[in-house]
Amino acid sequence: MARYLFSRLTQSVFVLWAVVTLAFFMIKATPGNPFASDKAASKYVIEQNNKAFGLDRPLSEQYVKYLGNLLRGDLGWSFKFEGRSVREIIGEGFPISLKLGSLSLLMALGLGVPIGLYSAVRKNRWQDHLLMALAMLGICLPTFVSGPALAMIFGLKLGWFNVAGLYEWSDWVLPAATLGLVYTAGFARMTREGMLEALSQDFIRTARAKGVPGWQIVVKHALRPALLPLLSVLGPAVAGLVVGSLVVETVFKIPGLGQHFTEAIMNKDYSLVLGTVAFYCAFIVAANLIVDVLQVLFNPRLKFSNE
Amino acid sequence: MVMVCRIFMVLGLFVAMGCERREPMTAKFAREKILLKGHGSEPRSLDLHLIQTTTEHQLMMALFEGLVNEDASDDTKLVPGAAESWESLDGSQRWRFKLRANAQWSDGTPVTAEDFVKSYQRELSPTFGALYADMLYKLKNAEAYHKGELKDFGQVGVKALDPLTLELTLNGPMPYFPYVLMHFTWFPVPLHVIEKYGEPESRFNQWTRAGHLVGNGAFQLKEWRFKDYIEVERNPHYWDAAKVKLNGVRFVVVTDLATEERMFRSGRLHVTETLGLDRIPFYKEHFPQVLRLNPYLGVYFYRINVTKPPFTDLKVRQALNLALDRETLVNSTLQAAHTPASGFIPPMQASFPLARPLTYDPEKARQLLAEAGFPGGKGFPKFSLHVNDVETHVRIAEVMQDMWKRTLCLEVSVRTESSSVFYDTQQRMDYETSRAGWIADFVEPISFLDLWTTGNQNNNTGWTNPRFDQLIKDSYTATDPQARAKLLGEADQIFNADLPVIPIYWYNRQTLVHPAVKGWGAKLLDNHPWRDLDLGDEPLPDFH
Repeated sequence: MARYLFSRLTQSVFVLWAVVTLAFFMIKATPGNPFASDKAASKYVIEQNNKAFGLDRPLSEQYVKYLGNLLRGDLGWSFKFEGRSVREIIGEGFPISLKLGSLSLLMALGLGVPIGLYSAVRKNRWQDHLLMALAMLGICLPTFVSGPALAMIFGLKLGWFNVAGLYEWSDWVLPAATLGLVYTAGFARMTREGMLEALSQDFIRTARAKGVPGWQIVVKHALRPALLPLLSVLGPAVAGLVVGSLVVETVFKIPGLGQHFTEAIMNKDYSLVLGTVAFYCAFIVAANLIVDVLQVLFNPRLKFSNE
Repeated sequence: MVMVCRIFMVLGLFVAMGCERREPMTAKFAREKILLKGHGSEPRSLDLHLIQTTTEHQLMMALFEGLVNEDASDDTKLVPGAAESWESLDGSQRWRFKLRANAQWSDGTPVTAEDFVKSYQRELSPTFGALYADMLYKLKNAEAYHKGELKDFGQVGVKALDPLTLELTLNGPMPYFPYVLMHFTWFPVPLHVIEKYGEPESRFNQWTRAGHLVGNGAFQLKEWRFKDYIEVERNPHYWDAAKVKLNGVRFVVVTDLATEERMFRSGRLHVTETLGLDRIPFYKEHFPQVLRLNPYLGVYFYRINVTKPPFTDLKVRQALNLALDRETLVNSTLQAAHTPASGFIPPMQASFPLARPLTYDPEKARQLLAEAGFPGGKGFPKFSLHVNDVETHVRIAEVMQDMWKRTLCLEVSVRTESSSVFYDTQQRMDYETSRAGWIADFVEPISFLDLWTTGNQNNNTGWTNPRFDQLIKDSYTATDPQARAKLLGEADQIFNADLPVIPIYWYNRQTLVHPAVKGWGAKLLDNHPWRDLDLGDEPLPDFH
């Protein structure tokens, strides 16, 4: 396992380097200028600004300098938010996105898995059809529809929750529900499929033949293999959830990390684009690695390939 | 089934815990006299020398104060600010300001004439890159110093004669100069504080953080939550602190129009930054008491690249202009929220004669296009309307596209780009027609005209007219207001006749204002002096 981990970590460093390098040259190749605005600054002022941020240097020199800084953990300064380092921006936004993502994930797992299991057990009965139809609706409903709808109903009409901002514990409910809804539905469908697959296996038939009670078959024997498909998508799902969502952050006015991904590109905030890309990439790589290790631990049919 | 029931019971309980309509935040904050103001996007900085936008200016008006101040309700008036009096010398080329003896920074240090000198020196530094430094080019030798052609700042037209006397020498006479001083570029920054937190000319200086920032305005920085809000509180060292009514203002960063409106309706904002156009009819009909639609000194227009044929031909530009039915465009697409433009400069001063040449005349438009060699649009090259990818801009472009197609049979496409790319493209003049907006820096016609002089960085149309340049230059040195108005009036007529741009509409500012807010007047530049505002106890109308 140690060798497996070492090889995977080496690969991860390579992946990270490749992604950052690609992102660096891609964002520099896009047209635009971080200091362009409605009221044009003079060419002279733009030159001064390019100089202050090192954009007057050759691209290769900028790249080498960026990589060097990155190795030291220095992500540079934002071009758009003067006097703020990229590390600070990520450091402030990430805990909020992490908390929101974790709440949504808890909701998705806590609701999605039981619903999926129940549906599988009640296969092709009305309960199954109803729950799976609802799940399909949840998957199809984009957050830019469900978010404002929840805010209108529970925030504006009923007045139970605040419509935007994160200042009280209850303010987390609507954004977490919006973000969690999509994953709940997806997880429910996936769990159902996994459970149906598991229940059709030979060892379940054997257990049945031996007279093991129905609920014990589901919980003790079928549950572990049933959750394997879910586990494999959990890595990217976790990474996607905890780095934030532009839509949910915009609708509920949450100062999380998600908005920076798109805004930084729009603003040509080079260092913030690269910082968020590197961070997201590192997160996905780490989450996938953990899930891969967990899969082997969960599934006796798999082994660490390097061993 | 039992399990599902249980889950729903737990959920129900969870929801029930929050199950009561809460007291609106606006009511609580009104009691504490803290105004909740929607602020749009996160400011670039709180450093006066690194900002550009009008919303940033509004925020800065709370933290800093220039030599003169805005009047609460009348844009054509100004009131003394950090300077208690001033006089003009040499036929308004030299200005002497007497600073207040009791004016202090929020750390208790006196505000001196030297502070202004040092601020302008930092802003004009040839290495710093202050984004709006050219506003100070009105000072003698400022441009040469900024461009590194002059090394000695002592030769720039700003002197501290004594700690309380500041003298500004301009390139030429400028009778309206005090109005120019309302712009944030002329406010002072606290060099004694900036130096504490790094190199004064470093872009990474940390002096603007809460706990560090010191200003001379009616309020001081209390809290800055990045991408969330900036809260300012009463500055006890402000010279006129006794007259300040509010205890603070919270500028809430909210970029989504629908979210901002929901926040207003649920009592989380006293004043919004703006309101979506599609919501105006609803408020007009049901809640007119909270809707403000006030004239805003700006114009929405299209630049024409006059260096690209066939747009070099005046008849083509005239045809394009006459084929636009602005009335229909504004009433249908823009919910009548703005005013169809009949010239470039919006109405502002009764004394300024406005050109009114822009009308809708499809017959004349077709005739002019034919005279230009394109009868029925035949042979006219396909061209594009260049816009940044904001829904309203695209919608307007599509209407214009349709009008030009129907009236002149022209093949027009809409080319969208994201803002940072869009402005760059526009400034490189890589377009045929390109969307633009212009908000005045101060209430003077010159603020709409001098950008069209040859070589101005905001011209970006390729248009140049020696007579126009001369008139603008002469207006700088004209001391008699009537003679100035005449010169600028002629310049305006030349500009509107030559049509390097097509004005579409004059802006109105659409805002939702809570009934408890007192003193929110109609201001042409939408700059409301925070020190004059107050909050009462009037409730929101029942929106439910």
